[in-house]
Amino acid sequence: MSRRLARQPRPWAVSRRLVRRLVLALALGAAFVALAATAAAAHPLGNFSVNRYDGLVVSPGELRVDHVQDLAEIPTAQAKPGIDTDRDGSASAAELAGWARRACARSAGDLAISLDGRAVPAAVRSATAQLHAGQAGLPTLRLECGIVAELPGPRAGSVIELRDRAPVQPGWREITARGDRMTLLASDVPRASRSDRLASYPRDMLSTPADQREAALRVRPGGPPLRAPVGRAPGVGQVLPRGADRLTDAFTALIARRELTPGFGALAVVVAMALGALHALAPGHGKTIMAAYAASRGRRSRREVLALGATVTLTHTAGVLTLGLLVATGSTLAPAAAIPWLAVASGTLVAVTGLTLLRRSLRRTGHASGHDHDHGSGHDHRHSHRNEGPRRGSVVLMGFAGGLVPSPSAVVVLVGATALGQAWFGVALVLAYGTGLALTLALVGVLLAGSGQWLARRMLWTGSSGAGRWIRRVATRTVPVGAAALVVALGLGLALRGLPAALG
Amino acid sequence: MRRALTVAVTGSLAIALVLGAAVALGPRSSQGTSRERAGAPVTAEAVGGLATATLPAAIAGLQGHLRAQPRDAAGWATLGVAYVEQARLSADPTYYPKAQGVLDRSLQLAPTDNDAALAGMGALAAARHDFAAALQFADRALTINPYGSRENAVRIDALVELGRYSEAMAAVRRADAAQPGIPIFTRVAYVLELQGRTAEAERVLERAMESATDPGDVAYVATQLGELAWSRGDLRTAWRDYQTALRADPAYLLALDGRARVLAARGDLAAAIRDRQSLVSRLPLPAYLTALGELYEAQGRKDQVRQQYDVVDTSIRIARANGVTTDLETALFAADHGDRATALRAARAERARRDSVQVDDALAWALHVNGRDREAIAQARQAARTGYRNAMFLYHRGMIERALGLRSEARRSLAAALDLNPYFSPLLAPRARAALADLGGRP
Repeated sequence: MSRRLARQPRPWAVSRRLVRRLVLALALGAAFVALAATAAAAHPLGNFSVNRYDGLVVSPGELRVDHVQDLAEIPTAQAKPGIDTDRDGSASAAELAGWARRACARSAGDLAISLDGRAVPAAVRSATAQLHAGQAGLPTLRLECGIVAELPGPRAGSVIELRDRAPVQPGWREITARGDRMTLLASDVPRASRSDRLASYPRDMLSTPADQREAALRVRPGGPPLRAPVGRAPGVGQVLPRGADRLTDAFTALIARRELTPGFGALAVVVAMALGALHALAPGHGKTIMAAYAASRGRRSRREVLALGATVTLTHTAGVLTLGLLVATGSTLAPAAAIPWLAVASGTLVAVTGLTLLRRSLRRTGHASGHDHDHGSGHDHRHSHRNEGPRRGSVVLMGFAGGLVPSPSAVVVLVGATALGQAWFGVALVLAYGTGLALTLALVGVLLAGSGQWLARRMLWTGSSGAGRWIRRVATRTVPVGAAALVVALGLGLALRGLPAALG
Repeated sequence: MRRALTVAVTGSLAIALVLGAAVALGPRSSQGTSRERAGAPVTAEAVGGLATATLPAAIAGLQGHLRAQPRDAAGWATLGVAYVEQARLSADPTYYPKAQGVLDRSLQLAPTDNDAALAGMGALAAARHDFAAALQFADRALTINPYGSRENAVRIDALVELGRYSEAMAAVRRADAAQPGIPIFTRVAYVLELQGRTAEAERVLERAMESATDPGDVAYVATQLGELAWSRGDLRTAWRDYQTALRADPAYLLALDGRARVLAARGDLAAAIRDRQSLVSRLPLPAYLTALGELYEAQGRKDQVRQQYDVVDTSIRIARANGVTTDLETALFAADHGDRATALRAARAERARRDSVQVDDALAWALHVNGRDREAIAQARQAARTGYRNAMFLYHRGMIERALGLRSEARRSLAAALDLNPYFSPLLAPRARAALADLGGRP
């Protein structure tokens, strides 16, 4: 019986590979659907909800309120007649802007702000509204208002109170407060937004939607300036592709709090270097490529490593400075669009370098069969490498590719330092950061080259026989080709990964 | 040991606090929007006394307790009940999935003998209009704890909404004997009213009013009394009751809705519109939007009418996208202001799930607007089977009879509608009068 069973054709066994492929395809499809569905999922706080956030920043002379509203589908439908003023059934940019101005004026009117018990009026400084895709093909609205209230001469111990008198509606109500060159002595609201300015709402079962409608702050003049908030200030958040890790965040916060003494400055430079070194170790960066490159080159001279490191550092620093400059001038669109393109360019560069390497190593295996490359370490047969062409060029190209995409955390460090009014220090930190980056990459290269040599030596040692010699010869010929091919593949992968973001 | 003791004590204190409040004040659990529209007394989902102020504090306490003691099944069940309660108080549907998760957790931790979690599941199902499931959960909870006040309340509500009135009456009697109190009194009153015994219903509610002290309770019971007065066209009493409710809880939306109705009936359309605008800005439920649209329609403001109905359409589209079965209010809205085929489909779907007089009435009307008056009249007669006196039902029936050429029956029904409550709808009462005059006046 069991034999008969065993002899029976098992179609599923034949198509197991097919099944695996199918599963993979399904998984990918599901991932895409999930991505697409994020836009169409139900509003996390219900389709009725009108969610409001007031981010207060107390600075000398004025209270800035970053007022955000997130309207779910039904309130958006209710707002529609107020937006579509020409009744053509669609909301033009001008209509949206007009509605945003009116809605922000209403919101400013809803804010009751007082300084030491005296009411202060609030004025709208900026107003924008955007439609986003919601559920069932219906739009949702996001309103952002810059509201400012003059605070004539707050003294030490002055009390600022704010009450959002907007009507009670289902939805998230959140207030945060921070000081900018002012210190909050007491505050009954948190500093950071739980919802990231109504961008993502906590969903766990043990949390209640925020329902904060008023805030009372006791302030005194003086204090560190508000550092450019990571992912919060309009600008930086949109510029950086979700970069700054917690470590960088902590570092920037540290710089923001301290007075700059020589000792602290030196420490900060060292820490920035370490951060850069760590950053190069994080996944998804050029190390793999560098490693593959190193493997394809076999042994390398110190000068090459130096050239590589210098190029990475310089390119990276230049990139970060450019990006920082763009952020500082308030241009948020250009950097946001530039980063993916830089990634594509970097990937293409890597692929091009890989191609030249590939061509060279192929040519070498083609007509260099007479050469014997298994010299002991320490010797360098220049004649055997002469036909590799201008290697300095490809090293520089590689370094350029490695440093081309500015790392977001470096930008954060720079912007943070600049916000302190110490731009030059920021530049120094970014330089240190790039150096750390280069150090790691160079180290990886040296290690790889070193281990390659070690491997070669092992082979030499074991392979005094004819077979060992043969293996060695084959290995010396195929490894560079394979590694160069890997560089090409990785470069293409990097470029392709950046492409959707760049185009879309 | 000592730690365990402290934990147990805090835990049970927190639980006792919320359970006590929730059970004592448990509201009627159905969402009576169609009834409000029909001008009939409420089964309002309102809320007894868990006043807006105390519930969040209780929830916060339970959340803290459960973060420290995540294995406390009873604590999870209580939090689930509190979430359902909060969803009703704030009309914030975010709490429903949370309640579901929390109650699931409780049942995971204690799969047997967990009547609190089952009762919570029942209340959640009823809040989501799945009355058959609500009934099942309540029955399972009652086999564990036959005296549970919450499970009894859920069971009564489910039976009423499913149209099983005699069983509902028996359940009400039993609960009244076991656990008399405001949540049971209001349910007794509603079941009596559905049988046309309005005088008895009023007496029960007045008794409930005497024992109500908490502002939430006062608002809840006073609104029910207002609805009763409104259903017989007694504007003065209805006004007084709604005002009592709004004094107790100014944010009580059902009372605001009732007051807007009285204002419109008195001819003060501007004030009624103001109330209704504030209502839809706070909570854009389809029933409220429709009511505002009808006020605009009565004023001839076509543009505004369209805007309100567009928003109703939006909510119906979203409900469909969410997989929510289109229900009673969709059917009634679509029959009067939207797509007639949709109305019939929604009413039929609802009728397949339950057989309450409200569903019969909605199906009758949906059949009528689709020109199928023969089937419609049978449904309209079904809707009258309990003796429930509702002006909107009578109007629907009269119009169906008129379409069938049953002139004397139509005159009787339309006259009865107008006698019962001459103000039942700012839009439809004039139509009823016109139709009656057209038929040759009162019988």
